[in-house]
Amino acid sequence: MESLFARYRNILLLLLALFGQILLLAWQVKSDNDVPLVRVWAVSAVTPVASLLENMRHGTTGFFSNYFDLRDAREQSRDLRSERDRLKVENQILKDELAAAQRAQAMAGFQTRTPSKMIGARVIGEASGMGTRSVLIDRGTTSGVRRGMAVVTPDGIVGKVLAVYRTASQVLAVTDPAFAAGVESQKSHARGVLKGLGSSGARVDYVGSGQKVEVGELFFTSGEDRVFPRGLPAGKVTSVKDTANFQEIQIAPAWTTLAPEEVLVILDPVHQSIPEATPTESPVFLAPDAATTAQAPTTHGTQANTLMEQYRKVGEAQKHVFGEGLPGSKPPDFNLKLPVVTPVPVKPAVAVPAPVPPPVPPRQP
Amino acid sequence: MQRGILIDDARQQRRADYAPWVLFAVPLGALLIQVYLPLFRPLPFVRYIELPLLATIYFAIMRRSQLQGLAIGMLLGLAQDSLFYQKIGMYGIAKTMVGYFSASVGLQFDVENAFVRIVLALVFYLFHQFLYWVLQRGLLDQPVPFDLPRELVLAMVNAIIAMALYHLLDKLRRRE
Repeated sequence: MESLFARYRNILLLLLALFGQILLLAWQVKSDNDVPLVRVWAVSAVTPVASLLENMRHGTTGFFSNYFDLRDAREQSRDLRSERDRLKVENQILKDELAAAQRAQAMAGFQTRTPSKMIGARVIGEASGMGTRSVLIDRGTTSGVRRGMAVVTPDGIVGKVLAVYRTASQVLAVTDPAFAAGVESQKSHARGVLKGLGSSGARVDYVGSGQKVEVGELFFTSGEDRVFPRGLPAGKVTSVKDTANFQEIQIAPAWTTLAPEEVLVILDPVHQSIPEATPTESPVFLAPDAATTAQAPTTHGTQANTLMEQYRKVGEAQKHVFGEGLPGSKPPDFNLKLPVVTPVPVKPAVAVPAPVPPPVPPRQP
Repeated sequence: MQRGILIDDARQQRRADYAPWVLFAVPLGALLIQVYLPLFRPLPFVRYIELPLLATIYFAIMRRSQLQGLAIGMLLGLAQDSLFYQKIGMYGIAKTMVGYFSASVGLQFDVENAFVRIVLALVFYLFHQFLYWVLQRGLLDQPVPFDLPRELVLAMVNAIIAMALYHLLDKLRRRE
């Protein structure tokens, strides 16, 4: 018997285990009861570890969630930064294009206004040494450029052609010490010779000490050098110092303040007159001039009426309807010179004649 | 081929020995993963991996003991029943039989052979699912269908996972 049990021990234990579980199942099904004890054991064994895992999961997912959020924020920041850089570059390109278009417009206007025959050229190189300065332009003999021709921009003279090649020319800049040109002041018409001072600008020599030259005054080319035609801006006076015979006049040529990309070569110079000096500090108005409004005669209307009349006139002159433009649209130009507004006198009310009293018969004595 | 998978030397008859903590921690870990990982939203597929079953098969075949296979299967099955909150004994009976029979079959084969392991895992997975289905219909009177194609696919998936898992568990064996 014992050997039989030993022989079939495993299968007997299996059957016993299965039988026990089937009985357990049958009892559960029949009585619709649970076996809480077994569940409590299992759940008690698993729950602490599960809680630990849940805490770890929560911490880990929180960490990774924060990490990914941060990474996303960083990526967004990087994207925005690159977008900003791209827009900056685009903005700069557009600004450059706008500036080029404005320069081209100014050049075209200058060419139209100036009687001299000119040809446009692009600055393709610059050579600056110890005080010397010259530029290379993309026009040469094939374009009709010759040695000694004047090179200008609408802002003023740039220099003169020093050497000419087939498709390029070298221009001696106005600030170069070897440069010289005849100039004339705008107000007192004092004549002198403009000479380059290297990088520090230029000076005007041989202006007599008795002649009046003011700081801020403009010098124009006088046309005596047979290079530059008369009437081109040469520079603005920055300092004047009176000496025994001549004045020491420093000027700032346009070349030192501007770095032109396009210039004009004067092929056939024609003299023109030096423009009259204009008030330099003319006020700019963004609304009708208050002083004018205040000084306008106000016979019967108020100052507000006069101001409204100013607005109306400015609007009519420029076909501008107030209140219809969108934000950012071009406002009317309040600097236009309009005839002085004379406010419409307010008509006096029509006087109603007082009722005529009946004639009083003379008192009889 | 036959020589490769059947036991033909003493080395292949040796039972694997494990530290006690391995025999406790691995089944517990399998249970936890089975119960806990499906809660993760990105990992719902974990519920289709029968890690307690794979652990039962592994220890049963590696210990080369029908009784130990029976005990591990029964304990894991009952614990699974408890945690899954169903009638206690369903997984218990199924895994008891799997533990016992896998140990019996494992005695005949070289259980360190990867192919043997895959086949055993696949066959016993199907056996386990079929047994569970029978118990559901026979004891609980639940008319659930047996989706054979689906079970076959899951059996293959579990067999592949079993191969990798058994390889890892082999690292926990005590050096001889």
